[in-house]
Amino acid sequence: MTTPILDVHQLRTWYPVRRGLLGRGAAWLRAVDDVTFTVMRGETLAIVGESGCGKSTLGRTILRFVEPTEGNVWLDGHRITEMSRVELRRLRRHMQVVFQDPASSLSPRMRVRDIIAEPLVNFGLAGDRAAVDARVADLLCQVGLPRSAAERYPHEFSGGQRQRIAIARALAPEPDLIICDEAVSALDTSSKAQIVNLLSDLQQRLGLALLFISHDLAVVEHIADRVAVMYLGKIVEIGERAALFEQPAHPYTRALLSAVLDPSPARRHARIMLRGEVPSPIDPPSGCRFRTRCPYAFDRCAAEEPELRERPNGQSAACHLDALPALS
Amino acid sequence: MALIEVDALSTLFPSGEGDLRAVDGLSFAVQPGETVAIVGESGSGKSVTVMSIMRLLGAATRHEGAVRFEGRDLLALSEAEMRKVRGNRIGMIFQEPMTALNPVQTIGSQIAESLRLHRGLSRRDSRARALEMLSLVGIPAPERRIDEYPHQLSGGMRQRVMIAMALACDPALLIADEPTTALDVTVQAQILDLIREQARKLGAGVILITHDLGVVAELADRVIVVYAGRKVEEGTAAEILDRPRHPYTRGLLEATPRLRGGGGHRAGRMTEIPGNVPGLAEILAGCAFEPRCAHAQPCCRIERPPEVPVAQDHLVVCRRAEPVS
Ligand SMILES: Nc1ncnc2c1ncn2[C@@H]1O[C@H](COP(=O)(O)OP(=O)(O)OP(=O)(O)O)[C@@H](O)[C@H]1O
Ligand SMILES: Nc1ncnc2c1ncn2[C@@H]1O[C@H](COP(=O)(O)OP(=O)(O)OP(=O)(O)O)[C@@H](O)[C@H]1O
Ligand SMILES: [Mg+2]
Ligand SMILES: [Mg+2]
Repeated sequence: MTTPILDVHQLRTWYPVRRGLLGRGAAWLRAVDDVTFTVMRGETLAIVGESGCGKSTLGRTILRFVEPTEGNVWLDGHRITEMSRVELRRLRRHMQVVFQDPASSLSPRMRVRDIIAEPLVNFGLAGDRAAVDARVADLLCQVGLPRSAAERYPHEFSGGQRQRIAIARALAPEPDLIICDEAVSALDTSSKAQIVNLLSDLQQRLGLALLFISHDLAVVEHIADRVAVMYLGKIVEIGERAALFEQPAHPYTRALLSAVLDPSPARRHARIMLRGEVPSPIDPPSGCRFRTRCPYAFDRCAAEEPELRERPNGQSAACHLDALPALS
Repeated sequence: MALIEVDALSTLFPSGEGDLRAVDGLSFAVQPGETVAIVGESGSGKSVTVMSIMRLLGAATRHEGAVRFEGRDLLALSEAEMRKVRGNRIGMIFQEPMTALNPVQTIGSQIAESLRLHRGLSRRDSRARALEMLSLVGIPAPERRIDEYPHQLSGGMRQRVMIAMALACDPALLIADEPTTALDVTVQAQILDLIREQARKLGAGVILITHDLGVVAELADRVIVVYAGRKVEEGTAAEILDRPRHPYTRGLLEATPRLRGGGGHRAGRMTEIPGNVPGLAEILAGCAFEPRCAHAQPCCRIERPPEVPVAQDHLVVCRRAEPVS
């Protein structure tokens, strides 16, 4: 067995919050609450789930931009959660990130050339200035930007172009793992395809692994080998892409899949609308966290938290039901 | 009468290589209650168009043409007059939430402030309305979230806060630049309903910029397809989505990733339109799409293509399109 490139074990990230206006003492917002998974070299694991379920927090905790409350993360066998800042910085070369909001992650006062060259220079990867320039030009070309972009500043670009600059920077040091947090959500369909295809190529060539955080299920279906579905800080279903898309074993996965919009009128279908509000991650429901919105909830769901169990199709789901009722 | 009429709008950024023309003679109108979608690849000038309407581009930027709204040309208004329009008569949802939110002010006070300024509401009423807006956009536990700062929210929540802010003053025109990119499908449906409701109930017009043709199908009455700052096709949403005529529009539609429902097979490559959007410094005498077009003829490179009506409520800017007889 090869070691996974990324190994996340019982990870918890709780944020301290005030409990209401008059609330005394701190409460905890359980953004990530006991999450375990691995990503193999060259593999893409997609993380999907509703807004606020803890996807970005999970990514940020793995990067140690946020400190975990509990649990451990290993990158290629090195325990990230124990590392000093100096060790971490050295490891960054192997683990890059592309954020949701490119405007806030690109320094407005740096030229695009220097933004992309930064990791090359920091990790001593490129040699002399001419070599750096050549590499920057090559990266710009790969993400579909003209060479002349190097001399300009981030604000002179469109939203999608800025996102591509961030992707070029992440690719620069040829990392083993890229955490993509909604990395292509801001892109148009054609650029999205370009970038997704580029990432797949690099995966085959360099064995790049991706933790692909996205709510865009159509893109996830293209790029992911495996998919993890999160709900209120927990993984409720994880498994091979095909199994999960074909036969979701968790009611939440099924509802998510049914809500996807399609431009062709023939393919528009009935959506399963989830009842009720997303519960608060400060006081999550007892038992199964999804039960307050689940169309199939029964007594046991409030009393007992379901564990992730393996299903006949190979995926694991945290649901007391052995099979979902047929859709009417 | 049209609510807003954009008439031959051009936007030019001065640069060392001469003026860069990001928007090039674009015309369109939005009727009250109508939702017009602007679609096109990254860098085609969608955001610059609406930033020009809002007059939010730097002082160095030059504009040509006119933007008529409620009887006035917005391009000719003073900055003081324009401030009364922004956030009041015209609400805007920006593409990148963090650039529009103040990081050191709670989200509730940001929404309330605009209500006090434009609507003259009291402190108490503006806070109540802010709370109502937060719950309308589906922020869970709004009574707690209202006193949080933007960094304490998830990406999708920030986007919804901005939507709440844009809708708070009941604008006559809502400009939504990629309003749902950070939202998952369930929340997205809720937001689209809210925007639709705004258009129906208040007769507001909506300019919707989106890459998501599924969203276009859900929400838009009419669609304008832009390429390199120019309009290449315009028509009703049904016409454009079901019978696209411009090779570029067809490419966009083919590149739309769709759920295939598992299917057991290895994920295939996604469809892309070969080539890239031209740089702004490139001079394009003919059709801007010609270098990437599979159907181009020699004349396409030399002359700007004509606007050809191909059906009722459907026009294509392409030499190869056959007109309606
Ligand atoms: N301040 C600026 N100075 C120079 N060029 C600019 C400036 N702002 C935008 N541009 C250029 O204008 C063109 C159009 O940009 P715009 O932001 O309108 O694209 P867009 O259609 O909104 O794309 P996206 O889908 O990626 O958001 C791009 O080529 C961009 O690089
Ligand atoms: N710095 C912070 N302080 C306090 N709470 C936070 C902080 N960052 C995130 N949260 C909270 O943690 C929860 C999870 O947020 P996170 O950003 O991880 O969600 P997400 O799944 O990425 O959502 P989205 O799809 O909207 O980006 C949310 O309730 C959010 O408000
Ligand atoms: Mg997020
Ligand atoms: Mg834009």
